[in-house]
Formats: sequence, structure tokens, C-alpha cells
Amino acid sequence: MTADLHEQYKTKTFQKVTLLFVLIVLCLMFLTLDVMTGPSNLSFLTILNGLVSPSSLSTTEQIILFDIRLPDALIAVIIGCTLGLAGIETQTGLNNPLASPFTLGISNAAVFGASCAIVLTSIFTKSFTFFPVTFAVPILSLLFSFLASFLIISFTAFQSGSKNTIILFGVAIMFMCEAMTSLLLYVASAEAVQQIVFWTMGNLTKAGWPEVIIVTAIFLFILPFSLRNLWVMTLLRSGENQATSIGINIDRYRLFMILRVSILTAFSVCFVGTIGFIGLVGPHIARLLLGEDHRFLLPGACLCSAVILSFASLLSKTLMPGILIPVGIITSFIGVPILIGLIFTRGQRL
Amino acid sequence: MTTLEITQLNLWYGKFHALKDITLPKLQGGEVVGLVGPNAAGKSTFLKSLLWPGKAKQITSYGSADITQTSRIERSRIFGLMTQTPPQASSLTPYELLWSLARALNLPLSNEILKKEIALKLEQFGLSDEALKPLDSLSGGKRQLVGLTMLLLRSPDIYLLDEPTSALDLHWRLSVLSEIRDLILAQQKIALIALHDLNLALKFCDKLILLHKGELIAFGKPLDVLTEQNLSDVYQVEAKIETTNNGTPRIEVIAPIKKKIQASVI
Repeated sequence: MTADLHEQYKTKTFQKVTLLFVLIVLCLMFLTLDVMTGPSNLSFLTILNGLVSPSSLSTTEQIILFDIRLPDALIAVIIGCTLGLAGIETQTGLNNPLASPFTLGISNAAVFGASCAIVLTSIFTKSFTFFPVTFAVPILSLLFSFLASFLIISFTAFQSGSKNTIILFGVAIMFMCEAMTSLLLYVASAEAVQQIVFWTMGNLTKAGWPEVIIVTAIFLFILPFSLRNLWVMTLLRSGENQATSIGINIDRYRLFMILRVSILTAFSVCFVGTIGFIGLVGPHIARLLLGEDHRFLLPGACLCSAVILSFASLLSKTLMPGILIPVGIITSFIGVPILIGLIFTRGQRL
Repeated sequence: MTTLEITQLNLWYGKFHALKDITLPKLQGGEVVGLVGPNAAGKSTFLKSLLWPGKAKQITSYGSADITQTSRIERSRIFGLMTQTPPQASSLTPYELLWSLARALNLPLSNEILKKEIALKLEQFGLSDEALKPLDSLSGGKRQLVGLTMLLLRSPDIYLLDEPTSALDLHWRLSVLSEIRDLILAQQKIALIALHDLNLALKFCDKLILLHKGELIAFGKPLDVLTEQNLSDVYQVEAKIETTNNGTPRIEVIAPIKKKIQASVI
């Protein structure tokens, strides 16, 4: 009887590991396809050759592969991982299936920052030649998302707020930023408005190697801190009451969780715009596939989000040849059917 | 050996004095102490406050060690609290829950031992079939039993149980309390159990604490605490203490005592 139970548990664990492996394969597959597709097709062999010995390719092929395709494809995967991690941390940490980095208002603050940058540079084009819009947007959006994070973190720290007040506070910040952005849109020139709207739809193609390296570094820096809390996160799924009575310092965990989520979200949103849905839907898909054990759920959430975003990046190039559909739009179009399908087949367990 | 002595325990919720100067004589290892009192008497608050540092003038345990100022994290190694609310309904399974509990707290159990311990505890409370089912598919009673296995797996020195049997059927109500009693006796630990059912308290507790509006009304042997006078004063019920055919005492509640509501004069 006793051995039996553990055998069953091990079988389930094995299934989960297999699923994770499948997700990794899927992720690599979409990454490769993403690199292959574009206005000029690169074959799988060309890419492989290029990766092994870059000099074997023609100069044009080298430029396409290393300067355009690879960073674009890689940033999709890494942003997916980053937002997936941020999503699973907020959902578990705030014990709310609707919580995501976006309910904390951080990404709306980033949008406001980016809008400010676009409007300011459009007004002062002549005097700001040394500070082009490509720099101003990420810097200002980073600045404002940190400002929003700072507000939330200090609120959490000093108010010893419960999880619901934190969410409410985040939603308040979100609407505040939205109102300020609307005000900016109201006064900005038509050209600036168009740029802002386009930015909010999300765009992976502006990313180059520096962005890939920065986001990867941030992700790899934060990940170990999240992994340290794996057991606590699993335990939290039995409820906050249980966890506190056991002697887990939830307030402290939550404070550092919000700090981690802020950094992850701020750095991903400032480079690619708001690809919001991914941080909500990726973790949910992982939860429905893998269950609540965060040893599998946390990497699963990262991988699911990466797979979806990579697939979305691929579709945004191929759906209408010659036209690049903003990836934020595609993400929702892919994510929603998957999520609804899983809800119907796996029960309403969210 | 485990002992527990509490001196002048006070707790304020803002301006509300929830626990008023509660002092208990030394509790010895092997004792099951029941915590009784009407709604809002401070039973849950009393149990919880033992986990918060600095509320009592002095709390000593293990004979003489003063643990008044130790942090909450350290205290939760000495005191194990089973809260009134069972583990929330999520798709977490009891097995995963117990496993992550042991690992999150760094319990000194190897994988082999932990595996056996979990299976044993789950079987003890009839949860073997539910071990790998999500908590949200379990009934309220079963989830309460899962909460109990969580506490037993931690094996603290002092067990604090807040209404551990509120959602359980007749069989489990009795077997849970007798399991706890056997365990406390065998390991010479202390259990403080908040109970609403006074007959269960009579049956299973060595001593009782009667609380009312945050004050300690009586402490001692069950029959000395649950007198007809106390039941009428504190619980506002007319009750009789009877002896059953088996020779055990039983509380027969006859009727609530109605307070006279004064009609306001216009």
C-alpha cells in the first residue's frame, strides 16, 4: 500500500517531466522555424552551416541570419520565458488566477513612459538629435515602470497589505497610467499617436543583440531567486492561512516576489511593448497541463509562454506575406483558443 | 519534557482588548487541554497569539526556557497550529502538499522516510484514495483531515488545534480526537484544542480552559470548569450535568436563557 502510493506519484512525475521535454522540443522547433521564415527564405541547412561556420555564408545571408533573424527569434523566446515567470509568480504569490504583471499596473506605467518619450522626441526633434527615439522609449518606459513598482513595493512593505489590497492598489495605478496616457494621446500630434498605438501592440523586430543579452541576463539573474521559493510556492497553493500558520513568512516572500516581477516585467516591456496576455495565459496553460507542483509548473509556465510567443512571432510574419502583424495581437489570437480549449477539456480548475 | 507556562497574555486589535491578562499554571507533557467558550470568546485568538512574539509577559516551555521574545518563525517549530480553515480548494494534491510542506520547512527527513511517513499519515486518516486527487475535488471534511495530516507530519512539541473536528462525521470526530490523545500521551507533548462540542471536551480533555470575552473564567478538570453555573453565566443556556449508563458524565442542554430585551419607551 505504502510503496504503491509513491509509485503512482512517481508515474505522474515522470509524465510531467516528459511534458516539459515536449515543451522544450516545441520551443526549439518554433525558434528554428522563426529563424527560417521571412521575406527571403533561409533553409535549415543554411542556418546550421551559418551557426557552425559563419564565413561559409554570403555577406547578405550573414546579415540576415545574425543581425535580423536570430535576435528577433531569440527575443521572442526569452521575452516569453520572462513574462511567463513573472506571471506564475504573481498568480501564485497573490493567490489570484487573474493576477498578472499587468494587474500590478507596471506595464501601463511602461506604456505611459514610452508615450512620453515618443511625444517629447516628436516635439523636440531638432534639439534632441543626440537622444533619438529608439533610446528614449526604452529608457523612459523603464523609468516609469520602476516608479510604479516602487509605489507598489513601498505600499506592500509599509501597509503590510493583504493580497487583495495589493491587487486593488495595482489596478488603481493601472487606471491612473491609462488616464495619463489618454491625456497624452489627446494632445499629441497624429503621427505621434500612431507611433504610440503601434508601440502598445508589441513588436519584436526592433530588438537586436543588446536587447537579447540584457533580457537574458535579467532572466538568468532573477530565476535562481524564484527557484529558491519553489516549495513555498507549492505550499501557498493550499492557502495563505495554512502557509502562515506553518511559519512561512508570507509578507517577506510577497515583497521580494513583487520586486522580482517588477524587474522582469519592466525590462521585457520596455524593449518590445505590451505583449500582455502572455503572462496570464502561459502560466494557466502550464497549470492545466502540469498541475500545481511548482518544480514542474514554474519551468512549464516559462516554456509555455515562450512557445506561444515564438509561434506568434512566426505567424505574424507568415499570415499575410509582406505585412508584419503586431505580435501582441497574434498572441491573444493564439492564446485565447488554447486556454478556452483547455478549460473545456480539463475542467474549470484554475 | 515539554511543559508550557503562560503569564499575563494580552492582545489588542487596535482598541479592542481581545485577550485580557491570561495566566495559566504550568501545563505538563501528556496533557490534552480543551479551550471552550462561546462565539467570539477569544479561543482562536488565544491559539494564534501563542505564535506572535511579545504578547505575553512571559511564556516558558521545556521547564525553564523563556520563549517570550522568540520570532514567529522559530516559534512555529515549537508550536504547530492547525487553523480553522482547511487547505483551500485548488488543483494541488494532498501528496504534493505534504511533500512540499516537509521540504519548505526543511524537516530533517530523508526522501525514503518522508515517503513512508506521508503514506502512513494519509492512511491513518483514510486519505489513501484521495492522496493524488486535487484538493478541489475533496469534500470539506476530507480537506480538514488533510490539514490535520499536515500538522502531524510537522510533529511540533505543542499542538494547537482550532476546531479540528468541525467538518467531520461522527466516526472521524471521535477517531481524530482519540488519535491526538494517544499521540500526546505517548510522546509526552501538549495539545491545546479549541472545541465547540462540550461533550467531546468532557470526553477527551484532561483539563479545560473556559474563556469569555477574552477573559479566563475557569481552568481545571473538565467537570470543575463546566458547572451548571458556568454554563448559565457564560453560555447563556440552562443545562444539566448527567451521568450516563456507562458512568461517564454528559451535558444535557435544556434551553437557551433568553435575555430580557428592554422595550424602548417612546
